[in-house]
Amino acid sequence: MILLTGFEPFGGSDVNPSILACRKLEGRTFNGYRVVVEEIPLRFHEINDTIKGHVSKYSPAAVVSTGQGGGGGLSVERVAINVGSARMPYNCGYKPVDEPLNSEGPVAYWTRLPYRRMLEGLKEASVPARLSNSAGTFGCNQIFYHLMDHLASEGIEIPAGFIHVPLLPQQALERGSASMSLDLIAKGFGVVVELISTHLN
Amino acid sequence: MSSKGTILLTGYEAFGDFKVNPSISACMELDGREIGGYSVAVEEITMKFSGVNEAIEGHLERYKPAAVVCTGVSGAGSVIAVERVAINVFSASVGVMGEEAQDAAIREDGPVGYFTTLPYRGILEALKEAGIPARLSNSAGTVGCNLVFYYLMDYLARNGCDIPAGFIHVPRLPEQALNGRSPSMSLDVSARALEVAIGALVSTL
Repeated sequence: MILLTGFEPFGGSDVNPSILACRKLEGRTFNGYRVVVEEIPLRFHEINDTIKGHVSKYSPAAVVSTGQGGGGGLSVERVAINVGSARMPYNCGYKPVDEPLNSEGPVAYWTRLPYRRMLEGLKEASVPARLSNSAGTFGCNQIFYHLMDHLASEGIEIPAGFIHVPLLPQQALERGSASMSLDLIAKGFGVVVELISTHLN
Repeated sequence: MSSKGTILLTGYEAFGDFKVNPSISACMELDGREIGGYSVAVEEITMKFSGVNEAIEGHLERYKPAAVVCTGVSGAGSVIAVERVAINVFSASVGVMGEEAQDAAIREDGPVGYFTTLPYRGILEALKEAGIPARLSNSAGTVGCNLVFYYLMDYLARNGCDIPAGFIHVPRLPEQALNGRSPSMSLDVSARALEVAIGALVSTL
C-alpha cells in the first residue's frame, strides 16, 4: 500500500485541496500498490499520534503527506525542521511559537522521496512543480517532521516525504493569489505515486 | 575604554549580476564601530565554493569573536531576513560559486541542519521598533549564503564554541532593481538594520 495524507480545511476555507486531490486517487492501484488515503486534523497536539497511527496501521510501502501551501505549482519539500511556529492558530486554537516538535529530535530530516525523478516526471506531464527548501513551520512541516522522525526512530526505510499544493481557483478569488485546478493537482499526485511505485519495484 | 570583545560580521563579494554586493557594502559601514562595548570586525567572503570553509574558519580562529553574523544578498528578498536554519546541501548552477553541483552534501558526515543561535526574536523586535521591515526566514537557499551559514555553525558545533551566530539576508540595492519588478532596499537602511541587529545581539551577551 501507498499511504497518502491530506489536511482538513483551515484558515476560514471550507475546502483543502490536499485532501481533495488525495481522495481522487483513493483505492486506485499503481504497479500493484493500492492507494490508501487519510485526512489529518490540523490540531497541533494530535498530528504526531495521528500519522504514527496510520503508519502502524497500514505498514505502507511509501508515504506521501500533502498540504495546502501558497505557491504556483506543486512544491516537493526537501527538508523538515524541528520547529512549530504559527502565525495563525491551528484548528484546535493552539498557536505555537518556536516550539520544538520533538525536544530530543535532530534539527532536520531530509525527504526520502525520489524528488529529482518526480520533478522530471511532473515536468513531462506538464504539471508545474519545483523543489522547495522550506515546508514552513506550521502543520505541513509538522506532519513531515513527525513522519520522518517516526520512520527514523523505528528504523523503517521507505520512501516518504511531503508535497505542498497551491490553492484551488475558488480559494484565490479574494486574495488574487496563484491557484491550480483540482484535476491538475490530482494528476500531479498520480504522476508521483506512479513513479514511487515503479521505484519500489 | 577597552572593547569587551569582537563581533565578527561578514559579507559576500560581488558576483554575477551583482557588480556591488549590498551585504559587504552594508557590513563595511559598520567596520571598526563600537556597539554596546563590542568592536565590529568586518571580513569579505569570496564567492568561491572551495574557499568558503577555510575563510570562515580562519576568521573565527583569528578573531575569537563573541558573536558572528554572516550576511549575503537575496536577489528576491523584499525585507531583511533573519535565517532560522542552515541545511547540509549545496545545489548551484555553474558560474555562481565556481562550481556546479546538484544536491551535494556540504559535509558528508555533517548533520542535516543547524539552527541559528542568534536571538532572532529580539533582533526582529528591535528592527521593527527601528522601522525596518524584516522577517524570520526558514530557508537560506542552497547556494553561497546557506553554505557559509552551514560552515559557520558546523565549525562552532564541532569546536564546542557556544556563541551566538547566524545569518542575515539583505535585499538587493535600488540600482539593482531597475527592472521595476524586483524588491530592493537602500544601502543605508540595510546597514542600519545590521547595526540594530548587532545592538540587539550584544544586549544578550
